[in-house]
Amino acid sequence: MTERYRSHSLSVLLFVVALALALPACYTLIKHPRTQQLDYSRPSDNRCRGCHSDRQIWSFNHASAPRPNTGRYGDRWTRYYDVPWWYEPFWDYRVPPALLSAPPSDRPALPTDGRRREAHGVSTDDSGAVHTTG
Amino acid sequence: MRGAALTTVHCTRNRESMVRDFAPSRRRRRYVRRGHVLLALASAMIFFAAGVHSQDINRTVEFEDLGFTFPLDVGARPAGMAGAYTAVANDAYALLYNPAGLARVKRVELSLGLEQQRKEIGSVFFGNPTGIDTRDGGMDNVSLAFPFPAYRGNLVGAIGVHRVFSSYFNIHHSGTNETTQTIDNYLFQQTGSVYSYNLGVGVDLAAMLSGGVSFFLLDGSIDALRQFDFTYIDFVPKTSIFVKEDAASDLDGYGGRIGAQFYVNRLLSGGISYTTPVWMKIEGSSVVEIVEHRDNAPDNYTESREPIESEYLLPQRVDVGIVFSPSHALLAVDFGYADWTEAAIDRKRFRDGNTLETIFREAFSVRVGAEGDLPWLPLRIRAGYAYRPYALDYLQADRIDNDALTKATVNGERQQFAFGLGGLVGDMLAIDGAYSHVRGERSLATLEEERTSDRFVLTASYRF
Repeated sequence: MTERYRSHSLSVLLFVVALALALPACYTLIKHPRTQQLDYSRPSDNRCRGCHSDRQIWSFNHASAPRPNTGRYGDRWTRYYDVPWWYEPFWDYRVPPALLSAPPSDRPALPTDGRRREAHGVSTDDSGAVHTTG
Repeated sequence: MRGAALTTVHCTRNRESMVRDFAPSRRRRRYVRRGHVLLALASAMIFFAAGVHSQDINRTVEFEDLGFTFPLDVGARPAGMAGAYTAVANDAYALLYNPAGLARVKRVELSLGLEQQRKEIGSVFFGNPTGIDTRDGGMDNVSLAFPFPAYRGNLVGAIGVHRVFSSYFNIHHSGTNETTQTIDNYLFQQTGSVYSYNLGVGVDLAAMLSGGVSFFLLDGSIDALRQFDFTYIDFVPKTSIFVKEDAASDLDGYGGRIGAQFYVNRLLSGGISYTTPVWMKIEGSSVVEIVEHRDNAPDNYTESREPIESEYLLPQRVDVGIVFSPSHALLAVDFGYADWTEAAIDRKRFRDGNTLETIFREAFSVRVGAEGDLPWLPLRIRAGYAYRPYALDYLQADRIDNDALTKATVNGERQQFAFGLGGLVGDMLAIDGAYSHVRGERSLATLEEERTSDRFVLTASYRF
């Protein structure tokens, strides 16, 4: 019985220690170091792109998937799985059906500059950056 | 525990009296075989799944009867992959499979699920085949995951209610018991479910590492009806004893889970999940009715009420998984380990008094699941296979006496085959369905048993 309680106590201790380490995670930022409020909802006036590339911005909220998960889930599932709800105005993710049905080689060339808000589609290049298509 | 001790003494007297008057051969057998008639008789008297009786290795069957050794695969997507979800989890079901997967939920998710299950136990009792099935169903889960807006990384909280154990269980043994020289007829019917109320959080700890924890409270109600009768073949006057035990009990419990998921590259990721020992307590009461029938004599009827109080401890568990995700598909493999020798009732583990072998065993499980997208439709197909060996490779040859727990020959370890289909309606509603089939076989010299189950799960998950 003593052995059992020692084992049980050790499990609880490990659990609590792990919890204590996990909660104040250093990677996840709820508050921006120099910005007062989240501003994804105003991409035309956003301050994110002033300091960060699109690829960085994408990867900030996709630690476990630095690119859109189109490889795993397909384009149709991308919005379901990969676009944070508070992020959606920033990444306009409604991919035109015509673009989805076209083979990749027939897709229109993707712009690579930072002015993408007016676009309707999205894809990635080899570097993992996220692009939209107009 | 005091209640349990009192109950044991009380029932022992009834049963002993009954056997002394009407069943000398059965009583004699107990003296010879176990050398402790009070203990054995007490167990026989008030045994049922949620019952309270003296500590006895035969009580290990309660873990199986109550469904504790075979947790349900919650959620149609995990169920369609036979539960190979430790590394895959990226939705509200991560609460159960790996709370680190919560960190991969990007939208508010509400999931609802229903299930339907059919279990069948086919037995050959002293050469006489019998079969009985059980059907149960209802809510599979209600889950809600909420990602907090974050500048970097993800912080996701989730709550959920999940049906984790099905205690629906019917078993029927009938035939001439050559050991006791009786004609036995035994029927045990049990209903009930155990629900897990989960609260968890997942967070990105690094660019390629997520962690998560969850706590759960267990709650359930279990009703059991045990009826048996036996007639002595060689006793004059002809003597039969009929016993009916009707029990109602409530279950409470708690535990926790912690996990991590790591992302190796675009094709490969992994996960590990640790579940603490799970403590549970069952309390309730039962009514025991005994009718003694002897030819040319009036029947003798007795009734007693017994309290129920028992503590169960389920062992800690570790699951490790990897997932390989090429384009439009994924292949997941999970390895699970649980040392069931840690399982205990009323703070005591189980060991065979003669051989000193542990009654439970260490169980290594392997689960393999695959999922593929149909490129021309928003549909995904899934399949899975799981090798989930018995935690208990013993069988109880004589449930009337509630003894003769004997090491069984495992003719076929428990294996699970699963299939599933998922579709996306619009952009935000995922509908998933899964079917799984489980089969396992064990046998003794006097008993063969095959257990199968078929289960359907249907879930809808909406992301806001």
